[in-house]
This record gives sequence, structure tokens and C-alpha cells, in this order.
Amino acid sequence: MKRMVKMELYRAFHGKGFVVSMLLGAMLALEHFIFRVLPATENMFTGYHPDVASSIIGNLHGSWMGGMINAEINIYQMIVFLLVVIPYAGSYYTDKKSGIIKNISTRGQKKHYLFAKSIAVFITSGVVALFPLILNLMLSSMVMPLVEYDWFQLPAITALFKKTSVNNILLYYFMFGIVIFVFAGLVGGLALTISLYANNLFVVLSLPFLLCIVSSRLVVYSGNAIFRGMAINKMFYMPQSSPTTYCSMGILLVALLFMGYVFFNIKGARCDVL
Amino acid sequence: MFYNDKKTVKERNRTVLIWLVAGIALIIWIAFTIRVNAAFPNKEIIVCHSGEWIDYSPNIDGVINADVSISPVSCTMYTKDDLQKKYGDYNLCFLSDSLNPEIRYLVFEINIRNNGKEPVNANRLTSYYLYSTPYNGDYNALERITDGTTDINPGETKTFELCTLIREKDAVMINCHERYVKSDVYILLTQYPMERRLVFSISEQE
Repeated sequence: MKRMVKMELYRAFHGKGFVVSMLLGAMLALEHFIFRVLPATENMFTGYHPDVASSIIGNLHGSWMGGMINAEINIYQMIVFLLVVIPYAGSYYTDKKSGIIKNISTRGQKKHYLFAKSIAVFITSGVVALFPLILNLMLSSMVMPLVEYDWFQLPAITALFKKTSVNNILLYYFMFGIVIFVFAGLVGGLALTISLYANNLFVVLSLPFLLCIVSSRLVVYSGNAIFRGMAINKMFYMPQSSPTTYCSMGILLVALLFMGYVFFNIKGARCDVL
Repeated sequence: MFYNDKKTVKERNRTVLIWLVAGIALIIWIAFTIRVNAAFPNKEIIVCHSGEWIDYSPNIDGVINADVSISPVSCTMYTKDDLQKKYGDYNLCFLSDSLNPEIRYLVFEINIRNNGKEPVNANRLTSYYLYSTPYNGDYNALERITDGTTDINPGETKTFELCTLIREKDAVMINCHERYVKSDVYILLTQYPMERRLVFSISEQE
């Protein structure tokens, strides 16, 4: 089992898909840094006066990609569903098509292979989803200071982890980063389930994106806050201009877990490989 | 294709190169981050409780130039109905802001002493302040409850009342209300590089 996990992780992190996905994410992070953060350093003191309580200097939180509402974070919350499946989520399908799964299943237990596959997909999806944000935060922190203020620094007063953001904004980034990592991993799991039935790699890689985008659009106009909060793109939107709720997050987490990894492991183990 | 414990020389060199580049990038990142944060150090915080005075000398070209001392006196939480009863004659903007009867307001009382040689316009002076609370990070502007008095003459000390609306629903939630009331609330006079903070404890209107 351990060796199987090690092997799957090796394949996941050494594949071309992983590099491509990281590069796409890096391009978005760099674009934001070059065209938004660097020009912002020249306007750090615009509108600032030290004698006015409400005026603040340009700082890291207001400048980096995940800090405030900007075009790049909007693009990110859309393309992240594609980014997370590119590295390894289609690998079960390609293993099945190329016959590798037959070799593995005859040499070891299939359920171990499926579990190892799930772990590899979960981790690569999470890493790929976080990479653009971490890169952009690191680049931005090189040119913008971290000045903390006494009030909450998020656009919506109902934002998740709001009290944490007041006390320690870096801890808030870390906590929301964990949310992004987990949900990215769960979206990757959807592709695994789809690959049990799909007959085309394109379908495996694009269907999670379509499902997430369409479901997000369907629930986002609901009058019920919990239902509205189940728009999955909200889990990737660090500024939380339209926040989700803890209840929505829990429901979505369980639903995705069962639709993805649980179903994949149970159904996959029952499928005939020959 | 499959995982192999033994790495070739080429693979080993590639791994070393990746770690080397990552290490150099990390050093550059640390150096630049320290540099920019050293240029903008943490703010200095001056705290002023009830009975104490804090100096405040705003100098905004063409708007206000004053030398005053300010002291916090009290802070009272009101429901909308109570605020309407007590301050309904003052046409407060905050009273017309929300139709929600559950909303809560804070009325701050502060003393301002003019240490300068020119009269100070209290309307302008107080318009730059901000209410905030460390309890949940709520903040809002402050509106002066005015009886028509605007100027503070040199050497004179006057008491003013400032009103704000609590935007956070924690203030009325049963479980949170008590903790909210026990929490300190601030009036911030300035924020950065020096934070001047008037600290109040909330008392409730009976």
C-alpha cells in the first residue's frame, strides 16, 4: 500500500500535466503581480493622510491576488476547476485505456491502487490550486508592506474566519488556504468518478469544470443563504465578497467526498479491469 | 514510467538544481520582504482610557489645523427605539439608514479641550474619527449629535456625543450579545504610523 501511494505520488508530481498546470497558474499570478501590484507600489500613499483614521496606506492585503476583489481572482475562481484536473485526475482513465491498470491489479490489490490514486489526485489538485495564490502572495510581499488595521479587512461582514482576519490576517490566509486545498482535492475526485464511466479524456477533464460552474450559477441567486453558499466557486474566492456559510461548506464537503473519492473507491473496486 | 527508488545521475543533478534555485529564490524573497517591512514598521499604538487625555493635532491643508486633547467619557448601547426617543430631534442620518428594528447603536461621549490659539470646528474635527471593536472587527463612521455648537474656543473644554451604527449582528445575537457588550470599543483618531485609540466600555441603556 505504502509503495503504491509512493508510486502514484511520484507519477503525479513528475507528469507533464503537473508542470503545465503549475505554469498556467504561475502565469496568472505573474500577470497580476506585473500589472496590478507593481503599479500599486507607486500609488501607495494616494488618498492617505496620517491624521485621518479611515485613510490607509497601500498594503499587502489590498494588493495581492487573494486580498481584495480583482480581475485575476475572478478568473482564478473559474479556471481553478480546470487547473486541478490537469495534473493527474485523468490518470485513472489513461491507466485504464493503456492497460496499466491490468498490470497493477494483477500484481497488487486493486483497492490499494484506487486509494493511492485518490491520495495522489487529492494532493496534486490541492497543490496546483494553491500554487498561484502562494506565488502571488510571496511576490507581492516583496514589494508591499504588511500593515494590519483594527477592523476586519474583508469586503463582507459575514465572511468566514472574519474574527481571525481581524486578529491575524496571515492566519486567515492560511486557514482559507486549507479550505482551497481541501475543495480543490475534492473537485479532483469528481474527475476520478467521471473516469469510471467516460469514454473520452476530454470529458473526464472538462466535466468537473462544467459541473462546478453550472451548479455555482444555479444556486447563487437563491434566497436561502445556505443554499446560496453552496456555490463551489465561493470556496476558492479568498476575498469573500459574497461569502459562503459553515453549514454550506460542510454539506458541500460531504457531498463532494461521497460523489468523488468514496464512490470512486467503492465502485472502482467492483469494476472489472479485464 | 513506474516509481524507482534509484535515481540516475541526471535525475539527481536535476533535483539538486531545483533545490538550489528554490533556495536562492527563498533567500531573495526573505531579503526583499524584510526590506519593505523595515521601511513600514508596525504602528505605534497610544491607548487612552476614561479619565485620561490624548493629544491630537490634525493638520490637513485647507481643511483643519488644530491642537486639541481628547478624553473618552462613556459609551452607551441603544436600540433603535431608545435612540429615537432620546435623540430623535437631531435628525441623525444613522436613524434613517436602517429599517431593521433589531439594530443597535453606540453613543460615545468625549471631552475635547482646545490647546491652540484659534477656535476649532468640532464638526470637522470629529468627522475624521472611526469606531472599531477588536471583538469582531466591526467598524463604522461616527456622526456627531449636534445641538448647534460647532466651535471650541481656545482653552475651552467641551463635551460632545458621537453616534454610530453597529453593522455586525453579533450585537443582538443572544449568545454573542453579552460578550460584545463586555468587549472594549474604540474610537480611532489616527491609524498609521501612530494609532491613537480612545478605549470605551459599553454600558447598556436601561
